[in-house]
Amino acid sequence: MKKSMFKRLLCGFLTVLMLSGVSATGTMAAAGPENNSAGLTTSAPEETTKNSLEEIKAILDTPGYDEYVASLDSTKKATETFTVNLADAFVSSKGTDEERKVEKLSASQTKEKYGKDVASIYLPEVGSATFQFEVKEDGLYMLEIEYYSVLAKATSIERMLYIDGKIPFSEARYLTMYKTWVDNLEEGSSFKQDLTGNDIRPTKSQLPSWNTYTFSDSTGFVVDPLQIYLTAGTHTLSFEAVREPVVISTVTFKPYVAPPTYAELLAEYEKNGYQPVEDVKIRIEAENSGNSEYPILTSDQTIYPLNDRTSPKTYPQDASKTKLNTIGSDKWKTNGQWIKYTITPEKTGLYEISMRFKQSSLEGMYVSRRIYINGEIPFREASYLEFLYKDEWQNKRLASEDGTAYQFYFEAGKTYEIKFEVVLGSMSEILDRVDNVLSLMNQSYLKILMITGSSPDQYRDYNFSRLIPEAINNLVFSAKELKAVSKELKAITGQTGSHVATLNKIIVLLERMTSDESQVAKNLENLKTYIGTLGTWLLDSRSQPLEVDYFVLQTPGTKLAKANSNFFQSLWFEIKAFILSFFVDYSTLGATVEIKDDDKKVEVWTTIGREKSKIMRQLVDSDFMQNNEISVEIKLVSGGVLQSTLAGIGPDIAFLASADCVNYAIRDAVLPLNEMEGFDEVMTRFPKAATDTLTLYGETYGLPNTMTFLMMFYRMDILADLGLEVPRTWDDLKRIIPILQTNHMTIGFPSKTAGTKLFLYQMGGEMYADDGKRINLSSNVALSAFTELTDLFQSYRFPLTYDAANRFRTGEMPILIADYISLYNQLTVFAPEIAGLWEFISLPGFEDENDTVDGINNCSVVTVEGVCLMKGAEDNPEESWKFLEWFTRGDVQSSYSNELVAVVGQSSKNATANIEALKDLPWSSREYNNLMEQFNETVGITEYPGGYIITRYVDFAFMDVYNNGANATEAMLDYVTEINKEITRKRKEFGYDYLEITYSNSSDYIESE
Amino acid sequence: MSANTAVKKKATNRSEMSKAAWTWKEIKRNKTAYVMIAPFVILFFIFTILPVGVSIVLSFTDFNMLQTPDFVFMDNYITLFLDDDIFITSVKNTFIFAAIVGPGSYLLSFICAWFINELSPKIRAIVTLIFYSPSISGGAYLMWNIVFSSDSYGYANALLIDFGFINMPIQWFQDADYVMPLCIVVALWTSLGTAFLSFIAGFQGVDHSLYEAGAVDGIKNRWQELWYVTLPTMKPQLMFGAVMAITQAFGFGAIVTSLAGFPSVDYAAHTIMHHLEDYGTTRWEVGYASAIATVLFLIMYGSNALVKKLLSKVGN
Repeated sequence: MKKSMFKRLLCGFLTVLMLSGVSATGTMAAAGPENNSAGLTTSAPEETTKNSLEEIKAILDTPGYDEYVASLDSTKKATETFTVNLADAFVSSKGTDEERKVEKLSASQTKEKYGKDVASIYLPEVGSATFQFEVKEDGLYMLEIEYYSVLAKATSIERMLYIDGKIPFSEARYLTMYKTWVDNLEEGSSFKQDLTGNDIRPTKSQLPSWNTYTFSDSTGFVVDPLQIYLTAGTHTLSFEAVREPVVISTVTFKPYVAPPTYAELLAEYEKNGYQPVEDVKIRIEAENSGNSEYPILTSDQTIYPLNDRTSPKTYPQDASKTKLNTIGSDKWKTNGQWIKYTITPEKTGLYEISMRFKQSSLEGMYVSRRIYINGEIPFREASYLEFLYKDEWQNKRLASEDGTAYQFYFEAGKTYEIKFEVVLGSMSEILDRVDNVLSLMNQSYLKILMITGSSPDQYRDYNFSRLIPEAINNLVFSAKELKAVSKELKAITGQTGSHVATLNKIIVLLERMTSDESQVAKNLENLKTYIGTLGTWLLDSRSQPLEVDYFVLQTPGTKLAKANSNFFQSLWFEIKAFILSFFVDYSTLGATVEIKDDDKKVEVWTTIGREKSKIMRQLVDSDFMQNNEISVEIKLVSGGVLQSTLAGIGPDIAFLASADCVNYAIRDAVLPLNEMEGFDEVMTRFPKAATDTLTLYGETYGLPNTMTFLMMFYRMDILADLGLEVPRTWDDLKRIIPILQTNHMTIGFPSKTAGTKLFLYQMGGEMYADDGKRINLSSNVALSAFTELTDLFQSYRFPLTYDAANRFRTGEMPILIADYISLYNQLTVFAPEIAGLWEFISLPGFEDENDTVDGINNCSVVTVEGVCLMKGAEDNPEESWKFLEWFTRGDVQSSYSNELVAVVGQSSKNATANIEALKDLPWSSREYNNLMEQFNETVGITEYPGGYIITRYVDFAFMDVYNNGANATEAMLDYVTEINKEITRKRKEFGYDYLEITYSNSSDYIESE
Repeated sequence: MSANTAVKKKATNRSEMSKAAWTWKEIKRNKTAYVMIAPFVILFFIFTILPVGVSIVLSFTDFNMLQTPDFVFMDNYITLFLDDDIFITSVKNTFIFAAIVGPGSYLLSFICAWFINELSPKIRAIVTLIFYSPSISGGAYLMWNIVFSSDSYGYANALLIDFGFINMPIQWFQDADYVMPLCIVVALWTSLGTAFLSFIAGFQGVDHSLYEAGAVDGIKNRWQELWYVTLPTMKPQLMFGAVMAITQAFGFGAIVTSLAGFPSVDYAAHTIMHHLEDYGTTRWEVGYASAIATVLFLIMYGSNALVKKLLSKVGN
């Protein structure tokens, strides 16, 4: 007995020891990558475009809020509130320029400009501004910022917050202040309809207005407002611009007081003698208030009315026509996004709120919303109302878990603003932990990768625990943490859904890898896959989509309407819809102005996809056709432009790649634009590089629509970790390649023709010589460019074929040179787990004395898509040109691009070729600066007849060198004659003057030193 | 002379009529048959004979899709045979391709069909489906793109790297040394198509009494049975299979394009079809492309005739 007692004690002791050991490694692991946080050295913001190593490190090393709170000596709450007017407190600004500078506004100026009688300050979208203020009392303060969203780009306002020149914690890097958006409705209250009576989704416009921003975590992991510890004395506060200008009047520092619990509130109701209202039912359609005075306000352009056809009960509904009847769904799912309704009740008393909603995307889970009434959270439970999963529509009261409906007090005649905001609710803490685990796993993976390479030797003993003990510890910790999370999740949702199963799979892998070191190398590939899986898991769980049909303010206890129709109602609805579908003309869908079939009609063919052409249709209807009396027909095709032009039934206007445009033009299928009215003015809208590609011998055959080019993407975290500066020249790049390669990483580089063009133009060469009569690849500069490229690929064995986004995500390719728009768009949706860890900047280049900007020639060769006047426009050139001119205007291009982002999402940024429009696109100011830097250093290659042959033979030459180790110069020269012959042949065919180049005289055209 | 006979309305005699009149009379007599065959003939004329004819005419012009063609006589053919190295390469490639894939797939189809024929009916149905599936499942051959991806994560490369045979990924479809063999393998894999099905049908259609009769006549083994009984009975299917195999082998272009790109590296797998596509769609020299098409047509026609000759020897 005694013995067993002793044993038990020993066991207990050992357990405690082990647990503390594990948790010690755990906390160490958690702190591991950020362990230099104690000596917080985050420097004050300097120039925004600088990419120095220290800056990146500083950004990445800022600790999180949890750590910040833990590191504080005292967590005493402040007791007093004080307000700082920023106009008075302004000290200095940095990084702003003449056009975009900080402006102090007096109370009267503010009143005049922004309609509020208080002194304020205008902060532009670049640079940072610093303010000084006095604190009387030590303690934790929360911040409330009174801001005015100035009419600008279609993104939220973003700032970084510095206190005393330092970012206090990582959450302070993302202060997201939403703008207010409102639908543009017909007569202020109803949706516009097309010719057949379908509702047309209204466009949205910004409603510049004063709002209060409470400093909080933009990711939603921290539920309560963020608090900053301030000692008594003088402090400074700086805002560094990330996106958008803003006007701020005051910043209020106040102690955080949690809202009362519902029980407390009820007690107060009773004390005040509030009674439930009688016989009241105020129904509010979620998608449209129907009241022009109080329209629905939203935080984003992307939250717009939707059409639900899944239930005949959704109001309004029609069997054949599209009715906009709901709002939200996956457009309203990101933490912080809100929808605001304004009501004026007619009776005083206690109301309950019921809502008809649909949450069918997070299976076995719930989504959360926070409710504000006049800017206040009425009670604690209202800050995370839960909406459970069901496959169909639900009509429920806002109620506590045990089913008691919450009651809200409203007074008659008063105006109330009810705001529903997306929050992560009780999931936030769990998700925060998973987020930490994910970044730990990512770091561990990279550490292991740097030792083993991407295909490790299974039978080798790498001795990880000695080389990278912290990486292995991190994995141990991750497994433990995920296990705890999985358990908690099960407890919350009460079931083991696919959600939990994903986590369990990862736990099994992590445990296998950490229990036996020989398993680490074997399972590295799996680890990589699972990191991606966990990233997706996190993204899915963070999104909180909720679709709402209507909500009702009513007498407590009122019977709720049925949420779904019965079988026969549904059947009848479907039958009606089926029969009516035979009578609907889908081709006129979306047209609001009658398309007249006269000779003036302009026919436009696009291959850009349904969403894009719908947006174009709307723009045409609301702008072009209103002002010009010209009918426009937009047709979505999948090619065949040339064939139909040949048959004489082709379009008036087509969207063509630059090569096609010129190639069709020399066959007289595309009309030149030079003689058109206002041509010269129109051409100034585009960079020269873009128009060059559409011009042949002085005749321009199209206006640039999109223009893309190569830029350099890099992983900030990896470069900072390895202590590498971001390369600005190719020599810099070559210096860091060996370091990357010892760590089993590589670089994604354009090969073949793309790479050759890149080096050729950066070295100051040209593709063609003698006005396009022959290729210039036999020149010395071209040959050295080609040799440089093949050398890179041969000596460093860069991969030729790779999945760019995937390798960039896993960190195997921390530096990637790629087409900026497609990779950017792809990474935004594909790799959310590395958001904020990467950016794109202008290309490295060759040192060049002639380059006036920075002494480095880093130009990028552009790819252009043009809008062209086809042969079919010979009957109506004036009208067609008008359309062309209209569509490429700055304001039209920017509304088109912004609508696209609004409808499809951030991953559909448009690479417009219009310089003015690019400014209005929702890039952050840093992204925009980087983009402009490259935009200004671009070249376009003229498409001469026979140009198609170049890619082919340069590719052949490149592959010959790469595969067979042929001499680069010889390989290239072998093909130059072939290319020249083809060019000559084509020039003869189209009657251009040509050089007679044959094998025998081709050597005459080779430069010799 | 024919007028006379018509006037007298005597009983007509073949020798008294011109050939045209006789034909016309026969047509009138069998008009139902002509009506029944008309839909096919019309479609066949519009979609096969007419294009071939137009193509032959165009091959003597410099038509470029958009402008009115000019007549250039034999220029296209002269350039094609005397001044177009790539055409010669493509002819070479096509013949290598056809010589391996044509007979290869033919034999493969035949052997597979023969073996499958020996199975019990239920299993036969399943196995037939399995063998036939590569050719019905459209773009399934694209999986070879993943297997032989030039990425180091492609299956073949990853395996070879894992086993330590290579350090750097092989650029399978971008390396002139590998392109042609790989394309031939893929072509053989997809070739168990219509010919294969017709062979199975042919085997099924052989009358069993013939085997008994053969046995009585002294057939000693299965080989003799195959050669003297089975094959002669299924000659129509053999012919059909051969025509299919040849047309396929010569017209093999799309698969190579989707695997090795267009044009394949250093023209390593550039067939006549590709050359045709190159001039027809990249350069829009439709006149020249028509000349290439005409040549290809003649080659196919010639080899069909040759195969017909060979097949007539079966069973002799």
